[in-house]
Parts: sequence; structure tokens; C-alpha cells
Amino acid sequence: MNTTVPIRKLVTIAIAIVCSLGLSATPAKAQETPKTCAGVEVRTVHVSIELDRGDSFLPDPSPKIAEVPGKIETLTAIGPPLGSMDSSQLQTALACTQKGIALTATITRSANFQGAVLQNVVWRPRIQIEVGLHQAEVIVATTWRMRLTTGAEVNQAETPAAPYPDQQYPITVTKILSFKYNGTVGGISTTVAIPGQAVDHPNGVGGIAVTNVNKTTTYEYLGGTLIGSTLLTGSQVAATTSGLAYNRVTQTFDGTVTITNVSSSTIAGPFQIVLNSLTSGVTVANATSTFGGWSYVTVPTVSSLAPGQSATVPVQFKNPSNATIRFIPLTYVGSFVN
Amino acid sequence: MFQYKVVLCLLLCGFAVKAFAGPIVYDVTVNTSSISGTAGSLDFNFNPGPLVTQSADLQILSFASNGTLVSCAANIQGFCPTGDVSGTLPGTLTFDNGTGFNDYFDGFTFGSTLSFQVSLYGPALSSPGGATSGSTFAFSMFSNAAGTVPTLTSDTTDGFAFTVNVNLDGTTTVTNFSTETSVLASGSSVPEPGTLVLVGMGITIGLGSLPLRRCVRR
Repeated sequence: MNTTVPIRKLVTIAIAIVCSLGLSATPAKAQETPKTCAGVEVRTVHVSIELDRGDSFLPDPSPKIAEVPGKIETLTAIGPPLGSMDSSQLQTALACTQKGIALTATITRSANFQGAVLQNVVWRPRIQIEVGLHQAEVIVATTWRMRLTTGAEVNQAETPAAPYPDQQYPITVTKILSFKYNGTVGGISTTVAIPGQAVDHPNGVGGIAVTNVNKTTTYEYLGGTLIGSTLLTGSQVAATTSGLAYNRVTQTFDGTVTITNVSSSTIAGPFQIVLNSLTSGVTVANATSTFGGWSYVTVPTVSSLAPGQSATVPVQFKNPSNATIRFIPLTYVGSFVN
Repeated sequence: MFQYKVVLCLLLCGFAVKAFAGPIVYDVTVNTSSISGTAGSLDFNFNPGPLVTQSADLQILSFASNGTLVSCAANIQGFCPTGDVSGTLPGTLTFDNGTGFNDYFDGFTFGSTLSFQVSLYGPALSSPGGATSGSTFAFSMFSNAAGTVPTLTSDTTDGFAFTVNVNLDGTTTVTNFSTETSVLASGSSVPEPGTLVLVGMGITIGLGSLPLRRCVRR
């Protein structure tokens, strides 16, 4: 039996599809968008795409911010799996935050997509960001949004083919670059948080190759900030919350955040919960203070958490526009000294 | 044939388990005699948390009182529902947790008693899993029409008479701040007759398959 013709046809069709979409392994868009904020300078932003080659985005297709090996000040924001109904021409926008930079990338999807076309073409966007850091801690946040060609905002979108799940939008991924100085060596601690998911896979000190210890130490002194705290990972602590009941007396939305020690070791406190990426326009009415530009609350009267033990702290939000309240709970041990 | 019967039996047993997962219902009764005649207000709200929340629904049923409700258009805010809420008291109110703020507020002149049922249902209760935030229902009573002066509660800071938390494991937790308010779980977990029929059919078919299996072996 001769199978040459069908295979050739398939290859031809695949090439035609890719070409018609304008997708290739080369960058779809290379742009330079310099932006200078108080603690960080964005030197370049390059947008490109990555084609899926047989579920190659597995096992972790979630959007993320990754380091570029060997490049201490370069990050890559990797977007969600997309399909042929999505334009590779992303719209990007940079904005300064109190302690870092926020990049918003907007994906445009065909309004005619009915969920049944060209399901074999899967790709995802990659945005390479080159930054210069001028303070001890910088928070880089990437928000992925999706709009239809009609301009309508999309809250939930199908991914063209299994095994990738449907995606809720917007997606915010945050990376904290924290430059610590322990008296002898410098280092960089990074972590990634996705709304609704545990913070996990921290690189820790040494996760990024530190090519110049003096340079790192210098950052510490430039920032003038001593960070006496450590970010806990998803394998150490899990954070959950109650619903948020509306309080007409104080006009606040009231609830609780609970942290649970999910590790096999006791974790010594004190514990601070940073409400990272809190919905715009919403403020924390009972915040202890701020850290990294975001409010945090101190977990009261808990000096340590044994394995399996939990601690709960009340949270109150001022939300004048009654917006849906979202944030990423980041749990630290230690104290924030400004 | 044996395999078909086993599969049928398992399917029926599965439906039977599902049939047990009915709504969680609370009977609420408030003794409002101490504030009878007061032109106040009532508030019900049911909201999700800020992380990943499973879908849940809530109904206020069988609202009854010898007090007087203000028409929604005539209350201080000019309307009753906000967010994903449908219905008008004293009829059934239906909430879901699809938006961040789902509220029903109305003016109310208190009589001597007030009662209603709170019924909670939906995936967050019947098939919990994957969520990192629960949802919370809160009921408040106020001695003024604006809803700023709480009454019949020890929680004068928040003003809640009681709250019901939908927990991540599908259970619910009631916190009652009002000595005048009774919140009792309704006896709704008794299997309905239809459920018992399903269980009986599953057991019958399962047992009936045993002799057949022996015959096949011979």
C-alpha cells in the first residue's frame, strides 16, 4: 500500500495552514519599548511565538515568567496555548507600578471562531523583556487579556485542542526579583504566582546564575532596604479564603485568609500575607502596611505552624465600585523592614 | 451478560449516591418583638471569595413575617437586588455567586417575628473540588432604613446577624451573632422515595447476577 500521497498531502496542508496564519518560528513581532520606572528600567520588549510540536507545551502549559539562562536581567513571559483563530499580532503595553513594572499583552481572537476549525495548529506567545534593576526588590507582572475582533473582552476561552484546558482571562503572572545580601554573598530569589494557584517552583538563591556578586551587593545598597523575610512556596504553605460578605456598616467586603503548613516541617513565624495584584480600585481596609507596592496583613498571635496546622487572618476590602475582588496571596515568614 | 448487569448496577448505584446530594437547608426564625414597629431594613448577600471559587446557588424561601416590607422602588436605594439575584420578597429570592457582589436589600418595618429558609446548592456543595475560595452568605437587620445601624446582633462592627460559609469541602458553617435568631439545619437529608427505588434496583440486579455467573463457570 502506498502511503506517500496522503502524507505529502498532509504536510502540504499543514504548511499552507501555518503560512496562511503567518506563524513561523521566527519572531512575529520584534519591538523595542523602553520604559523607565522608579525601581526598574525596561530596555527592550520582543514578541515572538512558539509552535506546539506534539503537546510540547506539556507538562505545564500555564502562562509563566521564565528566566533566560545566563542573562541575569532578561525574562521571558510565556503566554497561554492559542490556536489559528488567534492573531499572532499581540498588543503590548507597559506601565509602572509602585515597585516594578506591569506588562499587559492583549490577544485578539476571531469573533467567528466556533470551536471547530484547524484544531491541529497550537502556538503560544513569548515576550522577552530585558530590564535594568535599580532597587532591592522588583515585581514584574504580566497580564494576558483576550479580545474578540469585535472588541469584546473574553473572560473564558477555549484552547483549540486537547490536552490543553480552557483558559480564564485575564491571566496575571507575577515574578518577584528580590536581591538579598546576607553579608557574604549576593543572590537572586525568584518565584512565580498565578491567580488561584499555589506559589511553586521557586528558583531560590542561585536559581539565576549570579555572574557578578559585587553588582548584586551594590543593588542591595542602592535599594537601601533590608529584607528580613522569606517567601514561602506552594510546597510549604497553602492559602485559601472564605467568601467576602458585604458589611453595610463599614461598607467593606469582609472575609478571611487561611494559611496551612502543607510541608512536613514546622515553619517558624511571624507570617505576613501580601495581597499581590489586588484588583485595581480596591484597597485593604485592615492592612498592616505595604510591601513591594502591595498591602499585607500580619497573621496575629501565631509564632509557628506545625505540619498541617492552619492560621486565619481577617481581611476587609474597600471596594467603591463593587468590582470583583481578586488578589494573589503570597505568604512570607519574617518581618518587612522599610 | 454478567458484565452488562454489573455496569448497570454500578450506574444505578452512582445515581443513587448523587440523589442523596440535595440542597443544604436552614430554617431561620427571628424574634423581632423587641424592635416591633421599627422602620428598619434587611440585607441578604451571597458572594464568592477572591481566589478560585466553585459555582454555588442560594435561595431564600418561605419568607414570612407580621412586619411590612417596603416596595423595592420606595426603599432608600430605590431598588432591591444587586448582582446575580432574582426574585422579590416575600417571594423566593435566588442568588448565585457568579459576580463579586450579589445582594438583596430592602426597607422593612419589623413586626414581632420573621422567618425564612436558606437553601444552598450547586457544584460547590454537591461535587466540591479544585477551589481555593469558598462563598459566604450573610444576613443582617438594621434599625434604620439606610442599613447602617445594626440591630439584634452582638456583632455591631460588621452588623451580621448570622453568616453561612460554603467551605472548600462542600460543607457549610453557620456563625450566629444574634441571640434572637435561630438557625437550624432542616431535615432535608432523608432520601426521597425515588432514591430508595434506585438503590433497591441496583442491589437486586447485583445479587441477581451471582447465580448467572456460577452457571457460566459450569
